[in-house]
Amino acid sequence: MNPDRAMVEAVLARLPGAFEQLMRQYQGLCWHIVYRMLRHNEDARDICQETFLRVYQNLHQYRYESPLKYWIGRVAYSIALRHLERQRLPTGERIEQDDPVIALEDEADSFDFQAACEDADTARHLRVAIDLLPPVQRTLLTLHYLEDLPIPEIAQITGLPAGTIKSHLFRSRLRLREVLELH
Amino acid sequence: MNTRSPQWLFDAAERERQLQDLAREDERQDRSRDGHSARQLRYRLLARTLNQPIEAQLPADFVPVTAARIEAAAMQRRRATRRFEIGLIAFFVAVFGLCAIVAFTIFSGDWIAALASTPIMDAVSNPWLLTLLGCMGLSRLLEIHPSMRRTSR
Repeated sequence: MNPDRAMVEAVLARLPGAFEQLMRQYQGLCWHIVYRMLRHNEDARDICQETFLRVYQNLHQYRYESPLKYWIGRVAYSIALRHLERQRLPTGERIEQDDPVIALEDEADSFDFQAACEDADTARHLRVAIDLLPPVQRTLLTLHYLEDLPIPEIAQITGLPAGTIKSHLFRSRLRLREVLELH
Repeated sequence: MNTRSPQWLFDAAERERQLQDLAREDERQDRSRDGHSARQLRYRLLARTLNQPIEAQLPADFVPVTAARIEAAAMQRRRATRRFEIGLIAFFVAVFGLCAIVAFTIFSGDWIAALASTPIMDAVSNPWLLTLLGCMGLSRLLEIHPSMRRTSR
C-alpha cells in the first residue's frame, strides 16, 4: 500500500500515535517553509501548530492527487502567506521588473572559494542578504536547495507557475551573487 | 541605460541561469572546483550556504505536545457535537410526543366512537376471548424467557 495512504488511513481511524508520526515526518518541511517566510521564531511555531491543526481537521479531504508532503507543504505555505498579508507585510510574490543587465556583464575577476568558506564575515553577510530577500524568494530558495525539490514540486506547494518560480530563483541568486562580489 | 539588445539580454540571462543550476548540482555532487570561474564559485558558495540547515529549530517537545493538544481538542469537539445531536433528538422526540398527546386529546373521542362501531371491536370486547388471548400470551412468554420459567416453578 502507498505509504501516504497507510498513514492517512491510520490518522483517520484515530490509531494511537498515528498523527504524531505524521507530524514527525513533516515537521521539518513545515518549519522550513514557515520559518523562511516569517523569520520569527514564535510566530513560526504558532503557524506550524495551526498548519498541523488544519491538516488534522481536513485530512479527510485529501484525495491522493499529489504526495502528502506537497499537500501539507501547501497548507503551511498558504497559512504563512495569509499571516504576512494580514500583517500587511510584503510577500514578494510579484516579480519586480528591475533590469539585471549590469549583473549579467562578464567580469574578469577572481574568487578564493576556500577563503570565503572559512571567512565568518562573508558567511554573516550572505545570511543577512538571504534574510533581506522577499519572503517568497527566501522560501523558494529553501525548498530548492535545503529540501532539494525540483521546480514542478515547488509549484505544487506554492501554487506559483513554474516560470514565476524560475524567475524568482534566478533573480534572488543573482542578487546574492552580487552581494558576494561587493563584499 | 541599457543599450544591449533584448536577444543579448535573453541569452545572457539563460547562460546565467544555467550557471546557477550547474553550481547547485556541482555542490550537491561535491564535484571538483578546478577551472571554475569566479562567478561559478560564488554560486557554489551560495549553494553551500543554502544547503545548510536553518539554525532556529522547533522545540524538541513540539510534536508530542502539539499532537496531544490537537487530538484532545478534536475529541472534545466530537463529544460536544454528539451531546448537541442527542439534545436535538430529545427535543424533537418531546415535540412529537407533545403533538401526539394534543392530537389524541382533540380527536380521541371520534376515533374511539368509530372503533367501537366496528364488528372487530365487538369481538375483542368479549371477556372470554380476552381471557383466552391472555392465557396464550402468558404461556408464550414462559416458553421463551428462561428466567420467568424458573420463577414459575
